[in-house]
Amino acid sequence: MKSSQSRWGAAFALALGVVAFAHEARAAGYALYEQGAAALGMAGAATASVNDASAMFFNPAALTRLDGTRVYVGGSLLTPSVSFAGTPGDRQDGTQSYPGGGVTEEMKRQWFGLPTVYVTHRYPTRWAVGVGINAPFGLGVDWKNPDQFTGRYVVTKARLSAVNTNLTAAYQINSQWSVAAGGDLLFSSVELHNRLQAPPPGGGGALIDVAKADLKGDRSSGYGWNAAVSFVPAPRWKFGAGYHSKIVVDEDGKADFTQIPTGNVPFDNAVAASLPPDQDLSTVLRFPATWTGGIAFLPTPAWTLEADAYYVEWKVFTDLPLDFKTTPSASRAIVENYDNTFQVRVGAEHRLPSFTYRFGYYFDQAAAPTESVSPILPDSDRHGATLGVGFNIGQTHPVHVDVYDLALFVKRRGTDGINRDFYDGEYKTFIQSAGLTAEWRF
Amino acid sequence: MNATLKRIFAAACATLALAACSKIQPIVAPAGSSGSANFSTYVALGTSITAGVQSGGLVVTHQQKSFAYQFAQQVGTTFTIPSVSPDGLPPLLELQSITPLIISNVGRVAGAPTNFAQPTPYNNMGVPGALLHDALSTDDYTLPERAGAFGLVARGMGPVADQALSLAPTFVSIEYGANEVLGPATNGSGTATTPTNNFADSLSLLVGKIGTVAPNAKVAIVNVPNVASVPYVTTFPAVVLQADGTPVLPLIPLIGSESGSPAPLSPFDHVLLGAADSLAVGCGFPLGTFSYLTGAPGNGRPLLNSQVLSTTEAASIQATVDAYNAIIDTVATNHGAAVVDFNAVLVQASTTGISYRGTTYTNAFITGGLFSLDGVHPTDLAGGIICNAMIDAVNAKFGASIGHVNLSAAASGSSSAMRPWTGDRRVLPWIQGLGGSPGMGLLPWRRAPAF
Repeated sequence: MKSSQSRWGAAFALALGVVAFAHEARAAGYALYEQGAAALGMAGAATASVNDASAMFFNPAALTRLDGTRVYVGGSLLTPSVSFAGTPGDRQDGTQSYPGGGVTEEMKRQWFGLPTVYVTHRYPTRWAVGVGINAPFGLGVDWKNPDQFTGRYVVTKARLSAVNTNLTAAYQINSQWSVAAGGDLLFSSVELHNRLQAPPPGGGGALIDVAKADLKGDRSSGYGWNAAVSFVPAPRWKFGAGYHSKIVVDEDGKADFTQIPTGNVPFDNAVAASLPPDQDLSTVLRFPATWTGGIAFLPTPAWTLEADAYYVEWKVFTDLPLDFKTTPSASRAIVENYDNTFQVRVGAEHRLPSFTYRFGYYFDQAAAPTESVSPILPDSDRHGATLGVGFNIGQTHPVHVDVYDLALFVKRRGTDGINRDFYDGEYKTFIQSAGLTAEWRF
Repeated sequence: MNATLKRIFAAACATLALAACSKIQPIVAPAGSSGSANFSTYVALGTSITAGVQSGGLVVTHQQKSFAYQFAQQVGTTFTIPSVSPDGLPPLLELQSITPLIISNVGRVAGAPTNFAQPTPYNNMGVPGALLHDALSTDDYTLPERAGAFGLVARGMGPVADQALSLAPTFVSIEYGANEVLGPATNGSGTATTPTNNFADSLSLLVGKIGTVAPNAKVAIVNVPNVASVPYVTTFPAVVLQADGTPVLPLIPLIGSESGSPAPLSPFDHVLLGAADSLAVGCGFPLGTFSYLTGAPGNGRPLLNSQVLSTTEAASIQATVDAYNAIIDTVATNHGAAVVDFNAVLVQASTTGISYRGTTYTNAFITGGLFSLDGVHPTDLAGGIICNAMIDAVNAKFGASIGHVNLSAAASGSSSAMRPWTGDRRVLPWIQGLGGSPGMGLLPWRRAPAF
């Protein structure tokens, strides 16, 4: 008993540490599916076949098929590589593209940690419960050389962090059917940094930096719910489906404006007179609902093949309003008008006596319309290829360990000369992610 | 898991990691072709617009943003200019205060030529104040008000066209006609300095000479903008304004002297930028009204005829511009030259504005972004826009495919070769220095500058 308590304590300490210090993330969109190493080894195609505590994310109804108590701790490291090239020629409106051909920009190399902590318990009755902490959404952009970055009037740095806590109960209706429902409490915050530019009077036509705008929201929370069903009609077939509701977070924060002296005294005086004061602001963060469905087939007892479909209701992300309290006239909204998207995920798992290996592929459709493809979020279609292995460590109290590696090939995407911020070009993104989870089974 | 499988997994992960993480390569337009033109030796003949005058003076920073210089850069050819060091010749105007409005070159130091000893003629033979007939004649080069500009560019080495042709050019741009109308317009006159038939003769003579001396050279002729649309003409209204900048109703016209004696102006007349000093002290404002520049009480004294371009005079200028441009079209057609529609650029600037990067640039004085602080000459950005108009014309005429100048590279933060200003400030709004320094008249037809 003492030994068991000690392992629990260590696991929670590790989990809380991860959550506290590494909860910001980055993906081409801002939904993150890196929530379980075994599932990610199969490209996240696990709605039907998930068989560890990451079922809290992939299909909570499957909790009824997990015996005993499980403590699942781990996470993913994720690093994006994003670069931009301006396109020569004209925009579709006939005006010249900015910043123009020959211009390239690059984002700073960043590393993001995504925590996953799940604890599940199967009661001797038909019930199972679970609690989880993860980061299902996140965004982080940080462009190199912010003082020269040609898109600095759009953004120099942006962060969206979201940590979700989840409490779910699952009920086994019979040997084939299980259902689950739970509540989500999502804590999120956002910050956006950019430069304000203006044409100096008597200038040579250029817009020059006159101020830094730093908008930072306080961590706020929003509520949602989830439901799932698991159906195992035969030993060789498994089906699963799930739903995560949308979550809306109303967030307050601060807006700081710091003037950048230009050396043009009359101009600087005019800027100082017109610059909004530091003040409170509010915004609304919208996280989309997600539908999932999956079919798993076991051609032999050692193999599992699964195909999943996801439907993400990104239309909820219409804009990011920025409402200034002291100077309401300065309020604005960053318009996004995302579209709902599909994902297809396929994966396979082969269980050998000493270890398990997995591989998978998924396609994730871009949510951003072309005009919204911007330095804040250069969204595009994504093709993910994954590999994973799982094995046990220890003899007396074995710990099951899974690792995965994900290469996310983001389709090169251009703005086609219609970007809303008049920042036109093409983005090239590649995302590398790897993760490790450990599950203790009691 | 055995060691072999671990190695396989690690290798596979590394392969995925390295698969696609290289940075995007720059996207550049396909290399342009010159078509039937040859840009290996480009010379430019013209006025202050070709020379790159901004904010009342020549300085290398802006000389290198003239449309001619930007064109040379775009086609990748060597292009020498009569470089002038900061603060320019004359020292460039700068915006010293917005409220009250103070534009001045007081406190700035005169620049100096930096390559005056260049043994060969410059590729850029644009001369501030030049008229078309100056291209082939040195008769007026030494007039006191013109000696400075022609001395700097022509350097006593003969007519500018002859010098240009001595370089055996393969491509020539011609930009004349603006001063023939701009000079009178900015002096309140609607009569061009050069009758249209003389303009036609001079242009035919010049283009014909190019055809004789450099028969293989291609030519682009820049047409003449309607100078009545420049801020020097359009900025000050001819009616009394309220404190909020809206006209007093019913309209109260300012007082002019167009017919020789004091009389109300037409509300549509143009009070010239050169009238700023007079307006500031209440001249032109009827008794009982107040100056819209300073709030000084109107003193009932009329503005000078030279300070106002009447609607009739503006129409006369417009007619001359139209006639000049018709001549340019004819000559260009006859000689197989391209026509650069500079006039269309100015029309767009003064009507819809010119959009770039979500910003609309206009012909508004100080804030429009297209005109420098003298209210007449283009900014760096405008130089790029004119250059792109020239590229369009050349591409169309000669089957070339030169890419446009990137306007973000053309645009700059200042039309005044930004430099810290340390002089004393005036307390009244005034605009000083448009007359240029002695011996180098920027606007040589203005023999009696208003300030």
